[in-house]
Amino acid sequence: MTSRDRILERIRAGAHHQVPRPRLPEAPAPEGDLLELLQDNLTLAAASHQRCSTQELPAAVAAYLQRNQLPAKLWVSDEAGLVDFHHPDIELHHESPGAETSAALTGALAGIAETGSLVLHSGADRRTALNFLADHHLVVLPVRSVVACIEDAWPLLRELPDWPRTVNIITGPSRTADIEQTIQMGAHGPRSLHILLVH
Amino acid sequence: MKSTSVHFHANARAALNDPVLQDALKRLKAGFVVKRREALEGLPDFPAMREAASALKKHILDHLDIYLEQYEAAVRRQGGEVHWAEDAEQARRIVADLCQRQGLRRVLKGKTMVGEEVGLNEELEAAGLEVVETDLGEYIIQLAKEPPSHIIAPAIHKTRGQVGELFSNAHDNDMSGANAPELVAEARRVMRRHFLAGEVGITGANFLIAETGSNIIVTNEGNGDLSATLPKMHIVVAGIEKVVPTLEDATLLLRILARSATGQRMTSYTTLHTGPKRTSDRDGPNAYHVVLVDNGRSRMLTGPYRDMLHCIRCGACLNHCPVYGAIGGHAYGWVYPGPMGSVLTPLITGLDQAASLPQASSLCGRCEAVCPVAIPLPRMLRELRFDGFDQGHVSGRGLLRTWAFLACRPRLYRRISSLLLAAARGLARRGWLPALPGTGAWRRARDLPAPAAQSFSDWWRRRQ
Amino acid sequence: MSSTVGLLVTCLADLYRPQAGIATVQLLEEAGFRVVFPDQTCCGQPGYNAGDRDSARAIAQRVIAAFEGCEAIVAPSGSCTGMLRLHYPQLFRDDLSWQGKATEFAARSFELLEFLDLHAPELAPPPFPFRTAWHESCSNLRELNRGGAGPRWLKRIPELELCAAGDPEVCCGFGGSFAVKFADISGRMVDDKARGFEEAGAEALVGNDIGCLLNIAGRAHRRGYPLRVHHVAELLAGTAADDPGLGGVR
Ligand code: SF4
Repeated sequence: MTSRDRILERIRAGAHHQVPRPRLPEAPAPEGDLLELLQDNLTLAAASHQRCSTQELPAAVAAYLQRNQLPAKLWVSDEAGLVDFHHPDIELHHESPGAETSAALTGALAGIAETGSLVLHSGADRRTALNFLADHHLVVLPVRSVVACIEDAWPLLRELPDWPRTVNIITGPSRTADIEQTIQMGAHGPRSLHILLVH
Repeated sequence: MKSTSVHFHANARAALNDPVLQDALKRLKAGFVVKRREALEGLPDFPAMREAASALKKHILDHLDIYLEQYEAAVRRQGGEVHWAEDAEQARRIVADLCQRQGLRRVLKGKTMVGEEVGLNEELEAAGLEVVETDLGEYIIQLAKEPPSHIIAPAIHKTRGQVGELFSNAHDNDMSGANAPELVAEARRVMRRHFLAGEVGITGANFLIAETGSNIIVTNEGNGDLSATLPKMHIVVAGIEKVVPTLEDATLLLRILARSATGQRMTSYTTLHTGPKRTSDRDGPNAYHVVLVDNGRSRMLTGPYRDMLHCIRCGACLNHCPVYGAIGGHAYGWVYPGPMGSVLTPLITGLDQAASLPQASSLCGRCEAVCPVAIPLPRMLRELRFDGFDQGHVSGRGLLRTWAFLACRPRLYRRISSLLLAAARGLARRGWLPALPGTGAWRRARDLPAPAAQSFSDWWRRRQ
Repeated sequence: MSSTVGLLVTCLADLYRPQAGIATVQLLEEAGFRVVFPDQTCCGQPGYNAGDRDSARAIAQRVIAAFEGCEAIVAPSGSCTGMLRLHYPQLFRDDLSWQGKATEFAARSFELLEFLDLHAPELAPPPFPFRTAWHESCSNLRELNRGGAGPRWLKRIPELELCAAGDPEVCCGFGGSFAVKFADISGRMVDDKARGFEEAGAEALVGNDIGCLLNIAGRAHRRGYPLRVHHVAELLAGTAADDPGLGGVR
């Protein structure tokens, strides 16, 4: 008998397959405009955001870097919608991020209005490390990708051709309260999370 | 980790007299308790969600074998491997072997309580591996060579000054006198080097999803994500009770977890990891292993402690426990403190090693009231007291039995109590008793009023 | 014909605060009940909480038998009512012959204020001219779900100034033998509690659990904080205003 068998045998002594599966509470159905709710909740989660058109995106990113006195360098994800990203003043990087990565630009599969979260996933055209190694994480989210609640994100993932190795649901920048219970941003991941809501 | 729960009394006394710890505990109350309350005010459905979460957990435990097998199959489908560990030693060995077989030496650890439970670090270090705790709180206590004192805020007992000292000694930087932002920046700087050099990432799991074979980790710092993404191998260590059927089920638990723990609606990072990196993926580990840890859990399924397996490790019962609030986590002597620890520690390490823990409660019930999965913690503490009494771990048995003998004989009881009352009244000074034999413990913190001149029973008899 | 109520006075009120029992009798009789006081000692909680189920069962069986024939059992204590109502049935969960009796007994058991809410809602208590805080016991709050019932009664007492103090969710640290087995921890808890009442400027403390009240009164006395401590029944029956309270010879 293997350890697996022994553990399962002990479990079977106490698992009788009788307790029915309860009905889960209804997923919350937020009232009002989802985009507005998302924006409010982004702010609550300490993420900043702005709206712009696809054409305005490069300029908006450049302005963000300047505003935050960041080097004019950007690690860009290669996913559809961003492969062609270009701005004359910004030096673009497509290699793995490292200690020097000041800002990264990625897309997102969805934005969750209920919680102010973004759903990102791994794939052949993107790097998960970008979401965590940059000081500033800029995320492009098409306004049509806003969903109401967490439950709405799961079908979108199930529809992907392959289930991704990594799914990141990101709600605000990295933070810690491990020193005297005071919240500090930028523990190991991004100090700032900025969402570009494009229409 | 070796338990010092047998020394609970001495540990508790030391904690009560530690001014630094007492300051930290005050912050805890102001922090977690207030934030949780505010978070729940925005969630009117909380009672219904709590009930549903508890019912869901009951359903899962009653089908635990089925869901674990489903989960295992799903992990395999995604190219991962599942290992089953019956006890702590086996869990440690599996993890150490996985690292050693691949010749991987630099280990990044995300915060894992089950890792603490099975004593992972000691084993890995003994095997010659370099282990770095990447969660800031865990890193601090790793430097201090201490166990965590809280399940979600492991270094809650440390002050800024102490952290500065620890960093100064460990890093090439003088950090004494640094403020919190400077300390966080320092940790970030040092940890970056480790992240980029790490070869194995070990994380825990808040949930295992049977449907997809994913593990979910819920964090705020992002250290768990970096530990799971950058190294060549990702090892997940998780208790067998962590499995849930679907993502929708996990969503219900996620909604109550962060609110109960830190008062957030969602923590910064809720991450699903499923198998190793796909062939075409740009990053991610090449190998993905899950170690399912039993270590006494399957035994808890039969018998009165089953509901303890509902626990989602949110820490709310610690934060609201007046005993934890008075003495902090270390006094409990093992990795799980507070009410949930007072139940789990005796169950995992043996009641003879931790007989005081279930006694060290006024059974005020606040833990059960705040528990997001409605675990009847006071009932379990009482059950453990029953077991402790039956196994001879309760002091004062003679006294108890004498009292019970008298309590079943009202007339004798009355006669003896009248005598005692008369004696006590004679010794009383202005309505209060002086230091009499047998009153020492009570009088350590408070005075004892004199009993009444005439008991109610006597009054009633005269009145008839 | 008036119905018969059995009084379970509780061991602590019997020895430490007979005034609470006397006031309870007065209130019940004024509400039109015939009060009986069967032979009794204690509800069995000390043994139960120490893990001694056998002792607790033996005592519980005596209590259940002693109150046979009473339409209701009333105890001036949240904690003892919790024992009768919730823990007696638990004690006999594996004993078919007693399980039914314990459950039926539990259904007839009431905490005093709960009973008055049902049967004497019009009761008009006399004045009590003190700034008064209510002590919410944990059993009241979480076992009986009767949080707030005490203050509601206090608000009906003329000249009583109700003062909110401390956090009513937090335990005073009594917990029966916990107070002596873990005297240091309990001492910290009761100090926090007593300080809360002191900082709120309470002149009187009122509750329905003599155990907690002894604990807090003892700590207040040690702190040198003059606090008159009463059982709520004394206020409702009108015997408190001229009495110095627990431990008091003032
Ligand atoms: S017992 Fe309940 S409150 Fe305590 S950590 Fe577990 S889930 Fe949270």
